[in-house]
Amino acid sequence: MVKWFKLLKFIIKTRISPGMLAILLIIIIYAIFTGIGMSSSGIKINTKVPQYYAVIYATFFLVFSSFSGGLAILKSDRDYLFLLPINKRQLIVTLFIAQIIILGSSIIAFLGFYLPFLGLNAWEAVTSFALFILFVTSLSTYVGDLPTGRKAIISAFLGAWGISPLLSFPYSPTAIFFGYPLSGIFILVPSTAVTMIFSNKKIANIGIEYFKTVNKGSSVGFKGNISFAGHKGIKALYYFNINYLTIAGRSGGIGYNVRYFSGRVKITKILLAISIVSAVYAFITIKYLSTNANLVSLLTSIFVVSFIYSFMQTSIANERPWLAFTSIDPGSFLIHLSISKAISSIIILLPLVISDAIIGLVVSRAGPSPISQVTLLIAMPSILIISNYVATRYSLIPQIREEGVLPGQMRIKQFFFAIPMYIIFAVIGISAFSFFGGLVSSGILCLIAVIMLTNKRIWRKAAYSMIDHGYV
Amino acid sequence: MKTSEDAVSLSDVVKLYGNFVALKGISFRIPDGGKYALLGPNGAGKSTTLKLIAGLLKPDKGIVRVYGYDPANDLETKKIIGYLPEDATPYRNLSVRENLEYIAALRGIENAADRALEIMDALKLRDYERAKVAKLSRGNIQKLALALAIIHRPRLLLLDEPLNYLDIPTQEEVISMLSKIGNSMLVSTHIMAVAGRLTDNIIMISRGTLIWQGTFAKLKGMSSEGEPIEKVVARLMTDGQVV
Ligand SMILES: Nc1ncnc2c1ncn2[C@@H]1O[C@H](COP(=O)(O)OP(=O)(O)O)[C@@H](O)[C@H]1O
Ligand SMILES: [Mg+2]
Repeated sequence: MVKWFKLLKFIIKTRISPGMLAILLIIIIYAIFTGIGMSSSGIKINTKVPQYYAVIYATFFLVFSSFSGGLAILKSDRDYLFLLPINKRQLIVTLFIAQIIILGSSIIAFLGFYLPFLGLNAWEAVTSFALFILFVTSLSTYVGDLPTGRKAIISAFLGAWGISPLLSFPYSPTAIFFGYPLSGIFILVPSTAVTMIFSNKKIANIGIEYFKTVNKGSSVGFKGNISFAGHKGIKALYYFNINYLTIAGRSGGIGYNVRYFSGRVKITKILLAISIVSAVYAFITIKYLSTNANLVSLLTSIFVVSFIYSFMQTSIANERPWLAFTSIDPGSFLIHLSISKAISSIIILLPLVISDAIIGLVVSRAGPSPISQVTLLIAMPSILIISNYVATRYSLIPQIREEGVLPGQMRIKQFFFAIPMYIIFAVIGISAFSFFGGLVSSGILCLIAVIMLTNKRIWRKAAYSMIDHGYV
Repeated sequence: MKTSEDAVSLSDVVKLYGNFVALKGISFRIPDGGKYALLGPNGAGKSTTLKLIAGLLKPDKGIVRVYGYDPANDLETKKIIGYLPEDATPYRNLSVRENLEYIAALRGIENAADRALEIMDALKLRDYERAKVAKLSRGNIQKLALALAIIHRPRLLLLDEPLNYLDIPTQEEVISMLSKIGNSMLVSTHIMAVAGRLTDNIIMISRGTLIWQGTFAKLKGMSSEGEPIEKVVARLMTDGQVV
């Protein structure tokens, strides 16, 4: 048992830096104590804003941990841990428990902040958080291993289910955060039981293959061939980065396909998919949700934007400074890479904004309208440029070099990676209430982005910083 | 002696990572056409030195010059230098051929597609031209990386542990190809035999300082009867004599 605790401690230590652990603990303690303080003093909170946030974050955890889920395997695991004479089954189970602890403490840290505002009693709080953590961990362990298409469908469903309490649907795993503790727990118990059974089955069936990288089934070559004929210099960069979106993330958790994937998708394909989703969204909103159109458009925007942001921003992990920065000026390279991402984001967001406009015109009422989400076309590209600078300058995203393994520990600064996303959530929120306010706030972002772009020196600094932090 | 004629010159170069001093004031020069090995144990600062010369890092103190240019600021050096890092990985979301065409295009090379074909033939990569980099063997990835480093026919080649991951026949192929290229070369390695095959001059560093410099022949001469050359190197390194 002592040996086992040592193993667990080792696994957790390799996954999370001491600073990050400290921050998590501080937030957890804060949540517990303010929670106790508030419930004993009987203060009542009259705003629902924290609950909105809690539901959105919880949904976020649901969607992302299942879409890019699976058991975390690090490069050091493969180089060291898996070579130790430890019973493999025991190792897997320990990895799973470590994942529950790490994912669980991040969930508590993110959502625990809102705990005092959720109006739960102690019993409800403990039960619902414990169930939610188990649900998310086991779900991600199971779903993370499925083929991408099925994973996307499940994630989309989880996304809709996750935010449904905001539209007064109480039978959702996130309902516990929106004043429906009983129906939330009622739904979490069977859901968690099912996902635990599935993930345990998966864990039990893992053979020795788990400890090797086996690339099964995926094709050896790309479908199309990109020809750079006629695109010289920076033009080649734009041609590649606008026509193709590089996506990076975790895919495949346990079993054969443990890998940190990076792939490319043609932008026309993404555009088609987003157009279909946007059309469905417009149809459903106009037909069934017209009284709540503004809220629905706000939530949809947040959802779409968080997906686009995560995928587009992590693509920096695929850059290769030893090739790019030795071919052209590193500052110019990063500037044009950022602009190309900004352009792609405008292209991808167009269908959503058009749907919002149609909804706004059809469901025209007095007051704010979904049309004002058009500000996204200014805010999103701007924030991508700003965050691209921040992420490279402060090395927030580790480089992905090898297939199959995570680059390293969770660190405090990876928290900051999410900040620009909250800024854009804020713009979406402001726009939903005041078009003028949305215009001004996105205008400010645009101004900052433009000022950054005109200053090549800061991008050069960012380039050197990337190398200093271990990018090759 | 005009420094601008040297392929590489470092004077009193210091490089820090945070508070850690990786290079503690290194000076050496490589004349045009010189083939030099940068020898030293792991952690000596070899890779850092090459990154500085490649212009990927800036020195905290001292001067780095490549044919008289500052590699961190003069764009002219992008055409002159070919750099192969340690454990090089090309773009994983591109195929072998696309990697070559993309970098050739980015560099503004006229007939990028032809150049890609030519270099794939030279390194026997044609069979894999459409393969995803992520699916290649480590040896073929290394060959592709080398191809990418020399696609613009650089005057100065900086190679960091270039023969890692290659099997013996492939090592021979690469050695014969590299020795045909008549340009200046700095090859970092911790393996003596590699240094002997590719270069004739040696720069030896340990813990961020230069400890010995001379020809390969001279190093051989310093070994007593039957003593392997590795031992001489080890002796020099532990003595830490600055020459
Ligand atoms: N990006 C980095 N950040 C912090 N320390 C580094 C970094 N790169 C190298 N070092 C440290 O600098 C020293 C020299 O490293 P390096 O130049 O890679 O040596 P070599 O190539 O001779 O093995 C080592 O102690 C290494 O740990
Ligand atoms: Mg090295």
